[in-house]
Amino acid sequence: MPVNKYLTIGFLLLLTGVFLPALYRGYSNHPSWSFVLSKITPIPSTKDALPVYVEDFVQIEELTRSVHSPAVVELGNGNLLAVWYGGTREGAKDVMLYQSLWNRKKGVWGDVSLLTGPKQTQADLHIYIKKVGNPVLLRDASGKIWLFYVTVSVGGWSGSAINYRTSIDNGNHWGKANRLITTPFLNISTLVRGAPFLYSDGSIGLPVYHELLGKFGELLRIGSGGSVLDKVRISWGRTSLQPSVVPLDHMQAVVFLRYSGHSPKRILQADTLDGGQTWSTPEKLPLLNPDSSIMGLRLHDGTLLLVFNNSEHDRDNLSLARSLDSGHTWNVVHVFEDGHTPEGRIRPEFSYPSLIQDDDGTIHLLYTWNRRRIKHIYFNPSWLRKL
Amino acid sequence: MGLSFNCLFIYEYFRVVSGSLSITTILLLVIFLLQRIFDQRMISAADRSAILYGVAGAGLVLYPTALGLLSVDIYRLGYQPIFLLLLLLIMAISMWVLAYRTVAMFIVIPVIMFNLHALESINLWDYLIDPFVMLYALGWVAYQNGKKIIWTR
Repeated sequence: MPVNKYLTIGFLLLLTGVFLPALYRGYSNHPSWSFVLSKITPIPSTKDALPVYVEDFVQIEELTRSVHSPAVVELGNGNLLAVWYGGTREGAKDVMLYQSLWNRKKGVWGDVSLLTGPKQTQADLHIYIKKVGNPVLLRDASGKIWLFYVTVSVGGWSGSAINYRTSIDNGNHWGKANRLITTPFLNISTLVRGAPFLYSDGSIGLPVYHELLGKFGELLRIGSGGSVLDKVRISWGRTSLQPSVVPLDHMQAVVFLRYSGHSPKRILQADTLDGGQTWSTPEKLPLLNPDSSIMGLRLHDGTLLLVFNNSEHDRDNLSLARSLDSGHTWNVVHVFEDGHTPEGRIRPEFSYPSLIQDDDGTIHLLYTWNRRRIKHIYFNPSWLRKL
Repeated sequence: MGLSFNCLFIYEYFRVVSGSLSITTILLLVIFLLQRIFDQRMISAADRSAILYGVAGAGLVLYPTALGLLSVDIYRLGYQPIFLLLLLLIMAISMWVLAYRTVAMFIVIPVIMFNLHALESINLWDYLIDPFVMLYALGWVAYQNGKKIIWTR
């Protein structure tokens, strides 16, 4: 048999040995597209009768000159864990991620501790890290806490990458940082803001966004081992970012997006009917948006809430909108902040809300308060029903 | 006053970009080094041309879509790579039949490395192409076609 034929047979055997396992792995690693909804817990009748509304601050003392972008998650013991970034100013080299625990029984926030920063992340990844940014949190079905956060190696926020750490002891100790590979162009320009959520197969849905050439939202599927399983584009173009995905049932969800285009400046909303595989074209809601972060939440009873800056220009108003029909119509029902602060600060800012409902039914809101403190407001459905 | 790196290892700066090198780039670099060491052509001009035209073409499809210039994102195909694998299989067989055997191996070797999870990424595209080889290929294609235009005048 001529040499060429031996070579060809050998090549075909090689192709079989290489492509068959890869095709099989690709076929068997297909993730499930079914959302996990937060469990429905009956609210005790005594709590149901008494409206509760409490305002507090996470930081008892102002440890850093500037703080921003809080994230919050409920722990298995009912306490809350909050993470935010703080330093001299946004994007400074001294910016770190800080954390604090809210004790449910006592109703107070504990001491603030340092979680991580550029040097620690750099030591774990062996990649130069210039600064850290937005954090988001998730507690998975096993009770593990996931922290996803932004880092920048070169340039500004448009040069960001996403990293994660995990904790199996409610945030007392965190594992090493790991990097998510999300783009082919030096793995830059992917950021987080919207809260992650769970799929029924145990994987994580992580809303992310780009802001290099365009501004658009995407949804990452993260496996339980931390690898990126899939990526779906939620929007595209140059005017939508920071998606907040809210599952409505096992297959349907709505997403709220920050709008960075021209007037009229409104919050964008889109939806999915197939677990996030495809999304409708985002459309403007009648709710204002001054190119600022928004956060949505589905309550246990199906009510949708949106916390947002009810203005086209400033972040001095922080309001609550409610939808009783899965996002078709909205009403502004409450104003958390209306531009006034005790110090009489010029151009106050109340922004970057983080919103959860705990297993007890209480709704917790954290947000940046004048870039100096993290404010915590919690209320119960009984209070909400009176609005 | 001297330079201060704040105890930072130089390789951590380098890794910001080197961590993104594809298997195709690594293969080309290895061939380049071997040619320099042994002073011998390791890859034919026709194979080299086919590889660089392929990289340029793939990059022109991949990067604009991944960066959001279009609504579709070709990079996503690399996470659930069945379609991409079938396409590569057909291309590898075609190249072999057309006697571009080096090109065929330039398709197969990245897939081997993908199976072995040799890179940090688990996206098949990151094994096939990176911005550096894409820029090199585009520059080479532009140079070659520029020469042809000048010679035909």
